[in-house]
Amino acid sequence: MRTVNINLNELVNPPYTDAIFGRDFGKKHATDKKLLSLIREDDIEIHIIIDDSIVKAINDSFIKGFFSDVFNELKTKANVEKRFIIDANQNFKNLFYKNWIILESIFNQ
Amino acid sequence: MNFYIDNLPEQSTGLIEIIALLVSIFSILITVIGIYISKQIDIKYERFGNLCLANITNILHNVDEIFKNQSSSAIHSHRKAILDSLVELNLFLSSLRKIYPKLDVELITTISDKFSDEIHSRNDVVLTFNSTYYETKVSIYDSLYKYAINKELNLFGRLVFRLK
Repeated sequence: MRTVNINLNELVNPPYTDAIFGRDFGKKHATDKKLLSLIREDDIEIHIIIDDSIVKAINDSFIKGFFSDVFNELKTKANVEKRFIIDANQNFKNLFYKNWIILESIFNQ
Repeated sequence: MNFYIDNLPEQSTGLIEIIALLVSIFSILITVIGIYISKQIDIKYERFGNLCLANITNILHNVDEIFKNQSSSAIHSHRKAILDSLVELNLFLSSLRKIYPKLDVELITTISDKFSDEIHSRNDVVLTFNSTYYETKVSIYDSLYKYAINKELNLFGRLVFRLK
């Protein structure tokens, strides 16, 4: 299985910025990382890397923007969990999982 | 003394009595249907109020308290508490879609995300976010009430007025 790392630490610039937010920014970052074509590949695992000494906060808006096309394609949280590994502290993991539940609800209307 | 009445009305036929009887039955029927529908609306609205509005008020209680009592402190010391409440709000609305499948969760999450982005983007005191918070809260309740009136309480389908 191929592993792809997406490092969110590169999106902040401490001490000037330590938070990641914005739905459009999330969408743009997903496009930059070609997330949609990555998830269309078989046998791929995408690691989202967040170091909490660098990134202090991530807003829901960023996660929703970043994963909107992914959920449009994969539909369920279970399918997304098969492809994505959150390599971060438990708080960030919980934040992603909660937003995945919300996205699942939105994309299954 | 004799009185003569020249213009006596013609004796009524049974038809008028039948029409009167039908009108009475029809008005009783309309009244019963009216009572039934208004009871249905009461029950549906009470259900929506208890399941949705009351819980949202509870979830936003902590944020309300921050804006009421901590207005002069810096937003960054309350950011996590506020954002946690907003995540809970969105999660709650998502779970609510099992009961109210037509609820537009995306619209409400967009409203709350706009507010949480603003909290992330500035490091002012709580007071400066007051109006944005109340606008956000009003918009969320407004979309929920519109949903309730247009989708849940609209027993007559498109015949009943719709809020825009």
